Amino acid sequence: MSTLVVERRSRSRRGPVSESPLRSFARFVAYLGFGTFLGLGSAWYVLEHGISLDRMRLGPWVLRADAGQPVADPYTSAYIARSGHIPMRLDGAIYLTAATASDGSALRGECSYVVSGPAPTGAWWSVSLHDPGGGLVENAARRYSFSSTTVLYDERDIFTISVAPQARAGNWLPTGETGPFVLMLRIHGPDPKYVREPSAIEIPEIVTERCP
Amino acid sequence: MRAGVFWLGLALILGGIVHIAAMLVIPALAPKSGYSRFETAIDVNQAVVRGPASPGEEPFPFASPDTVYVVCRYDVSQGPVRFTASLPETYWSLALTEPDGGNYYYINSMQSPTSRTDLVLLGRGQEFEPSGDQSVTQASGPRGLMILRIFLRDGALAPTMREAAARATCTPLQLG
Repeated sequence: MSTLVVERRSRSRRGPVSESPLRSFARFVAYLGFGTFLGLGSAWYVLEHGISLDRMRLGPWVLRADAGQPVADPYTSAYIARSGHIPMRLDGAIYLTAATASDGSALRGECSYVVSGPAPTGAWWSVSLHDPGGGLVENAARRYSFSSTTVLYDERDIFTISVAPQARAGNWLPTGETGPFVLMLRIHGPDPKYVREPSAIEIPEIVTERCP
Repeated sequence: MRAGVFWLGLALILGGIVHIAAMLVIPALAPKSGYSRFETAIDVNQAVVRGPASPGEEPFPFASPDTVYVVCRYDVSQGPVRFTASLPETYWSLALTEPDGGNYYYINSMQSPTSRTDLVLLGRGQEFEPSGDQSVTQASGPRGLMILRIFLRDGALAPTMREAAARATCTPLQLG
């Protein structure tokens, strides 16, 4: 017991081990680099994965309610600036994007899908097919979208769009090429109830029909 | 051990600051933002017609293939800017957008009493007395985009709508 006390006293007399200035500086630079990497890396991750505070999932469709708003959250503003899209504010237009089918599988050009639902309530709406960067996809039929005035409805006012690489009867939207694609649903002059409560939007289903 | 925790905490705080700073500066510095694309592509205070989008000819990402766009990159720092358009019998909307993408003014054909739009945009401290069916609004900043969207009922109408859109004007207003 007495030996232990003596040993502790002798340690405390020695004081803290001093570090050379060069080593302290190296440590400072290392932590500075680590912090910067952490900040930039997390910013890149958030943008790359489209994470924002206003992001809302409605089935397979994603809505960013703050996009185009006069005061958007910084994540949405950064995402929109990076994407290059010029959205309208929510009472002007609602933009929904889908990169997956309703079953959660990624949309791919070599697969066939059926997009169907009641017509969204608004002045004008359309569904268009884009590559993940937002460009339109070349196809022999030169058809890139269907709108409220060009789509065919059934007797119950339900529209059904076949999104497929091969021609179909009715509303056929060609996928054009293989690889991932994105569908965008725009509802211009939307019903005010959608603006107040976006979850009230009767979103179309995206059913995978065939995927080789 | 204690020093290690201190430095790690400091690094995390620094990471948070860098993260927030990056998020705040990206809208202003993004080289491919909607505003930046038009900043290099079109002259200031001039109306240009774009669209309907087709592969390789998209005015901006996720542009609609069923819409004709009239775009004016305005600058009201030297004086007001006037935008006029005679609009066809179809659904249209006009939005004023800040460089960071926020819309501070919006009107559509269902809200507009006439098929003609005559809008004067004022900069800070500028005044203008409107005449007739002119409307006046204050710009939220010196620069931004005016975007008139004309929605096509049918793709075959695109040439007619582009023709109508080409008559739109965006010009600096000479105050007497």
